[in-house]
Formats: sequence, structure tokens, C-alpha cells
Amino acid sequence: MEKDLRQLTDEELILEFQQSGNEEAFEILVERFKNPLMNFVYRFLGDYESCTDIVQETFIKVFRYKDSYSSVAKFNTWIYTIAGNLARSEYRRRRRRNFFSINDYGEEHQTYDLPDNTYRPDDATDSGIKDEIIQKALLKVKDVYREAVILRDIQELSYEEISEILGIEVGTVKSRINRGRAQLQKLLKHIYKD
Amino acid sequence: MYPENDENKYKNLIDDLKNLKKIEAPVGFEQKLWNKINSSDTKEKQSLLTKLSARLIPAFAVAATAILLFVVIENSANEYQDPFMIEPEERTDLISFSTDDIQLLESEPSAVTEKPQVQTEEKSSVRFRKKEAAAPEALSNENQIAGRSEIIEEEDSVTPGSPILSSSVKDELVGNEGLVVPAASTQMQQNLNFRQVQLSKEEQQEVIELKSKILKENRTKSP
Repeated sequence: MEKDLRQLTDEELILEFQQSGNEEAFEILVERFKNPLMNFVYRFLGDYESCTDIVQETFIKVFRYKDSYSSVAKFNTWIYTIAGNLARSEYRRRRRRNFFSINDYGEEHQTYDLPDNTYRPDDATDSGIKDEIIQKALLKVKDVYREAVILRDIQELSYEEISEILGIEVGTVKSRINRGRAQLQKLLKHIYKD
Repeated sequence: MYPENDENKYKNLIDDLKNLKKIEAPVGFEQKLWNKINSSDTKEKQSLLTKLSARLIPAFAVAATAILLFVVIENSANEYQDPFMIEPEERTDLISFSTDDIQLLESEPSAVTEKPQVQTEEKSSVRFRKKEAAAPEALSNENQIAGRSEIIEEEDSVTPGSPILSSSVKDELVGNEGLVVPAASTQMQQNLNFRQVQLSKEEQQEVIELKSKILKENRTKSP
């Protein structure tokens, strides 16, 4: 009797892929995780093109290094860890690149804050624009806080899962989420007046 | 530490974050992914080969250099000899005279010529054998040293029981009172840092007189 792979959990699927090399199991995992990972990486980076590349790179790593997955860990924390590492690397690379490209036009040791003219209070009623404003504000939050806020409030993962993904204590996770929310609220004070 | 009312404090923000538009993967995501996986497999194999070769070549070069250095150092260490540890070569080619010989000659005038003769005979035979083996050029060089040619001539004609020293040598060696004084106190070889001293007849006479005087004094002192 043929197994119905779609009934299997994430952990069972990756074990099936590990043991028998069944690529169908891998395809099901891709189907399950491609959108959540796209959402997570996009909210962290704010760039759809890079986000697609990073998520694909994440799956390539899962495919290639499937044997390094331990059945002790949850599959979703493992794959989020891979995606998070790749997203952080990309973010740092971009920041360095932006820093140097801006400095090239200025005087020595002089940096500039680029003005953000996208927000206009009269347009803030539209939900699409509100999403955009929130996304832009999110990108201004410090990266360590942003990652924690995205995992908790957008991906709706538990504190324990976030702790495992980021490799930090649960208390630190809560602290980072709280600080991230506070920064975000401050950035969006024109929306959340009270 | 972070109570639930913290979440209430940011309730609107959290709700907005939850309701943000969900981002979806582009169409053909899986197809692109498989293409990348297949191409990365071949790339990985190629890069593994290039990485291996890139690492092996310098490692091989380093190993080869190390072996070469070891061989060179080992050989030079074998060739090197501590000059303080070298055994000095035995100088069989030198004829030496000691003061004992002089005393002996004085006490036994008849043996004056015989004693040193035996010694010189033994040594000269060794020297002569050496000379035969030596290059003729070296031989001629040695002969250039004053007085040497005569001695060699004499040595050539050495036969058991026959007098070894020629009359001219005897004149040099045997003084008036039967004392033997070496004409040149050392037999020289070229290229050696020795000083060659040749005494004139008068000087030899003077030396002999002085020596005999010393000997007489010694004799009168001793009971």
C-alpha cells in the first residue's frame, strides 16, 4: 500500500527524504514552507527579488544538507534558522554596499539620512498604503528586534520556537520583541496616536 | 517580566502586523528551484574538483620543498667535520732529532752515525714509499727545498748495513766534538707553514760550542 505523503508531518517528511531520498517528500515540504518563508524573508529585507532567491537558496540547502537535520529538532525551526541566517547575511551585505555607495558622493566621513517622502497622513487610510508604511517602518527597526517581531507577530511562532531559531534564551526573545514593538510603535505614532 | 498586558499595550500594532498582506512565492518557484538544484549539483562537483586541485598543488609543492631541504641539509651535515674533533695525521715524513739523540751521540761517538741512521732509515723508507705514490710534480716541488735533493739521493741508495748519510750531510750533522746538529732542524714540505732555517758553518760551530758548554756544565753539576 502506497503511503500518502501529504498526511505526514514535516518531521516525518524530512525523515522520509533523508532515508529513502524520496523527492516527493521534499516537494511537499517546499509547498508547505515556500509562502511562510517568503513572508518572513520579505518582511525582513523588503525586497521581493532577493527574498525569492533567499528562499530558493534555503530549499537548496535543505536538499543538499538533509542529513544534517536531527530528528530531535522541529523541522520548521530548522528551516527558519537557515532562512534567517541567509536573510541576515544578505541584509548585512546590502547595508555595507549602501554605506559605501552613499559615502562615495559625500565628503570624507560624512553620511546622509535619506528622506522618506512616501508617507503622507492623508493617504494612510488605504489598507495597501498602510501595509507599505508598516513595512517601511519595520525596516527601520534594528535588525535583531525586527527579526524577533516578525517571527512572533507576523509568523505567529511561539516564544520557544523563536528562541530555538535565534539561538537565544526565551527571556531575551521576549525582551527583543518588546523593544522591537516599542520602536515600531514610535515610528508609527501618527497611526497609533493613543 | 513581560506580562500579557504588554501585548495589550501594542494590541493595535500586533493586529496590523498579523493582518499584513501575505507574501506568496512567484509562479514557477518549484521549477526554478529544481533547475537551481540540478545546476548547483554539477557546479558543486566541479568546484569540489577545482578546490581539491587548488589545495593539493600547493600542498604537494610544500612537501616536495621540505623533502628537498631535508636531503640537502642531511648531506651537508654528513660532510661537515668539526675541526677540533679531527684526529691529527701522523707526520711520518718528518725527521726529528731530540736532545737525547745528541747526548747519545756524545757518549758513543761510534754510534753517532748509526743511531740517527736507524731512525732516518725507518722514517725515510716510509717517506719514500709515500713519495712513490705521490705525483711526480709534488716530488719535484719537494726537491726544490734546499738540501732535500741530497738527502733523497742518499735515501735512494740505502741498503742494509751501508752508511745512510752522505759525507756532506755528515759534515753538517756531525760537529767537531762528535755532536750531531741538524743542518736544517726540520725537513720541510712545500705548502706547509713551517720556517726553514739554514745555518752557516760558523753558526753551526757556534751552536755546537754552546751546546757542549751546557753539557759540560751539567756534567760538573751532577755528582
